Amino acid sequence: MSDVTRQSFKLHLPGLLKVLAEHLYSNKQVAIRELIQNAHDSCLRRAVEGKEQHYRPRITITADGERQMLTISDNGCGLTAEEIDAYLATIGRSYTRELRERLSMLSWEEASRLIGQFGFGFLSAFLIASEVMLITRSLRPGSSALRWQSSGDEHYDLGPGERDEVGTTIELCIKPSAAFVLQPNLLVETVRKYADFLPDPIYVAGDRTPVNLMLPPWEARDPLAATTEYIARAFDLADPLCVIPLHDETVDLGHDSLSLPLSGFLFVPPSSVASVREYGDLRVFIRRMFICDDERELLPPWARFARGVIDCPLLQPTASRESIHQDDAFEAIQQALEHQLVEGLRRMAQEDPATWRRLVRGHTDVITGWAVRDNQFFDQVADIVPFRTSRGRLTLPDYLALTGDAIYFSAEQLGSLQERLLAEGHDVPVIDASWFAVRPFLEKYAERQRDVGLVQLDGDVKKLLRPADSTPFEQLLAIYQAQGVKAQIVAFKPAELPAIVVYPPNVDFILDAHSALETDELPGPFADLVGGYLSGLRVDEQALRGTLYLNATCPLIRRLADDPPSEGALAAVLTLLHQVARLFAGRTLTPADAAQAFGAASAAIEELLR
Amino acid sequence: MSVYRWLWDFQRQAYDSQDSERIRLAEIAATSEQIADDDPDRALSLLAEGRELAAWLGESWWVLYIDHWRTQHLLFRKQDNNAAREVVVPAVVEARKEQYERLPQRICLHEDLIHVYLSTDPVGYTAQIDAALAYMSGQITPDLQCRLCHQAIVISFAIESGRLDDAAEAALRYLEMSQYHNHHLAHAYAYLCQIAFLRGDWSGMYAWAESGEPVAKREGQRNTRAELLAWQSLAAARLGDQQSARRLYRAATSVAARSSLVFDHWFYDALCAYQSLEGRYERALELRRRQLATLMDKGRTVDEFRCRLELCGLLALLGQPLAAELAAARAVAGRLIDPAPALAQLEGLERETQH
Repeated sequence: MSDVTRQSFKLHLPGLLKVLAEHLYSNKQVAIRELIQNAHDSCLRRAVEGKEQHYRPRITITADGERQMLTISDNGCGLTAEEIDAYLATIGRSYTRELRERLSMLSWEEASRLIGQFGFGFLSAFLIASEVMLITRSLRPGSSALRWQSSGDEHYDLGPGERDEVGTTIELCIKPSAAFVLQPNLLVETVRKYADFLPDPIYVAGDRTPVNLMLPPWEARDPLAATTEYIARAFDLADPLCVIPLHDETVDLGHDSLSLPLSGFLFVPPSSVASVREYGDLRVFIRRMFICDDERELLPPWARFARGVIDCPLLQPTASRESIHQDDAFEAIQQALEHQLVEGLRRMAQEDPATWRRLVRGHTDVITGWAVRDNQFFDQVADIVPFRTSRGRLTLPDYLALTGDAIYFSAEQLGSLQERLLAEGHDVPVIDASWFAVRPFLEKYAERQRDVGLVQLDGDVKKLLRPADSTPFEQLLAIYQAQGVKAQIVAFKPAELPAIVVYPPNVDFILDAHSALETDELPGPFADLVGGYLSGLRVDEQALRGTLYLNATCPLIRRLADDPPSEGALAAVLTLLHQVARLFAGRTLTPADAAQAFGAASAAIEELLR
Repeated sequence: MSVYRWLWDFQRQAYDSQDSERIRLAEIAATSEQIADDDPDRALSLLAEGRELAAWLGESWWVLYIDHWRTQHLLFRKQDNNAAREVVVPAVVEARKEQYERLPQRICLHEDLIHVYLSTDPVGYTAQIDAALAYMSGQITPDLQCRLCHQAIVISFAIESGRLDDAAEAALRYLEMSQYHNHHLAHAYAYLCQIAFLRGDWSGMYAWAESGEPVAKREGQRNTRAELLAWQSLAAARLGDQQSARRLYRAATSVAARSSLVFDHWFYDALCAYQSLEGRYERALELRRRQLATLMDKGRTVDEFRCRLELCGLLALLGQPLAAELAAARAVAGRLIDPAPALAQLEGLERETQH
């Protein structure tokens, strides 16, 4: 082709309609939201353009299960044939958007109440309907009623209709797959979810009372009472620990500042039900229309324990209006929310310390995680966070009152009976630091209080052993040396425990891995890597057999040292002590090891009996 | 048998028999997976709890299943090779036993072990990784999803070995294989961006990153999403669209800041390349220092060396003293199996600086 020609894109309308109507939205109830929003915008347009003194907007919804029909009717401004052609039948062109642009010059407040913007929300009707009929009569003087009908393909029929009042009625022949939307309870729930705060009364199924609140709680006469009531209704939660009302804020952008119109509130539930499922969810409204109830990016990451409702016209919905764009305004709102939440919590800590304590106790896991990352916050909570200990929940000052100057913790549950006995024998409560943030919290605490030491009990029980003079026990050690047992004298509690055997960490794995390598049980390439890993551990053969620690404070050991029986009996008693300690060590013995231990113990008993 | 089939059967049996402990075990695993990209520390805590429960219930398959996920979180969400090695080596040794012959996670554990060494010293362990990958390809049947993970390691290994044509071919194949697996799909786009970065193909990088970012967002893959945004930002800057580049950079760092994930070197490479392109070497230096802090004592020897090398380069550019950093880089190079090429790079940098 030698000549360049300018061509136009072609639209395959049925395909486009299918995509917009069926694939843009993730759930079918969204169709009802879109139609209610159109009705709302139409009412608002009538209020703005009609200038009627006594105009009262009204939206009614009825469901007819027998005929599988859903009807949404409004007394808004209606449509002329030209408007139907220009807006309803033109995808991507929105009258509301154009009206907003016009109004924004004259009345920002009214412009901000208009919701529609994309010009294809009406198509969502085909998510739930196989056929849509619209009967409308425009506010324009001399307009007659029109009837528009479409089954969702590229054609529609437009002709004269029957309607006396100004406004629009949409009748939807509900598809069998969407019949559930006709259930009265679900219909009310859907209207409340999406349109609770819309100012127009919405009547469902002939009820004389509107189902929607019409006024967000923060605009009620008594905002705090209305908010608490709303939280109880919408979040199924009574008595939140605190409610922080949101307000407009100016955010500094460095080179500029941005005024954010912000309404809503944040609140903190009394306690975490299951802290791992807390995400700091926000319910988001834009111009009073519900967008989503699980926005997790707006609140700061540390604020998982908080929840709330926000309405900000600067947030930009995605085309399906089921989530929001993370644009510059989004970032500014993140900043504003963090600022207002921190201020609110700080105020609470100063003015209402009792509630602040309840908050910290109710959300301990989340709060320890936050405090580890935030020094200022750490200082506020360090002394009031309760930790799980072997003696119940204790704050660190209460804990230190029991132990003096050391914090004993275990990063995993204390495994063996030997470990538990040694810890209790030490007469100290042990903090359960298996939750991820506890250990760094304790480390931070110890770092800031120089006279407080940290002792981790699991993984290295040797930390509970204290050095002792071995001179009086030389004879005992010599006998063990002759038996090929590595033994040492130390002191530990409880004094009733004569001896323990301590193995290097992972001894079972090391022995198992050596055995796997010797018998070629691992595939070649992996054997090389495992072999390399084992050599890196540098654990010697002797250590793998364990070290026997004799307790210098144990009366039996002292007696054996001070007043030993005959040499044979002493050797037998020491063998017995060693084998009992081996069996008590909590290490899984192989059948051969266990048989050997019992064999040696039996031989020792026989020696004693002789 | 696929791992999903096994999990499904286990859960169904647990629910059918109202076995609350086993139901809890399955829930712990599912919850930890859900939250891993938001909060890997919590996910690891939960898995530790799950492992204890599995051991107590005598569910040895579950113990290894959980070990696989612990390794994954430690490797890819905490970038902690040392801790991952402590988990996966014993698990591989345990998995050799006959009772695990049909455990689907056995292959995954082998892959995890390769990943550990791949991110420790890929050149030093080339022979072992090569042999292990060859062994793995004989183990993976076409019906197993493991072929996707295997393909991912093949790409990483090719990139690390400097075989960019092989890497690109493998990455495009991975992209094709991942069409119905969104989790892998986002990774495929990230690999293509990494290759584009090494080749200096900025328009390619922009296209891959732009396609991949919504996938990662939809899948909740924060680290991949942040990386793809960072690549997009760098590519936009390279292509002259500074305004978009700034916006995308902010988006990348904002996504990164909202999690406790530790990011791998690609993320920092993208951010630092952008800052350097804009002439903000101080900022790039600060980012590299932040990256270095995440690498200390984590057993990622090759990453630590590269990070220190970049630090030296930036210090030299800024005319700041670099003797201490050079010495530290040399010490890290000494931990590589073959330190000679790394030491030569340092010597080259030192010579350039002196001139």
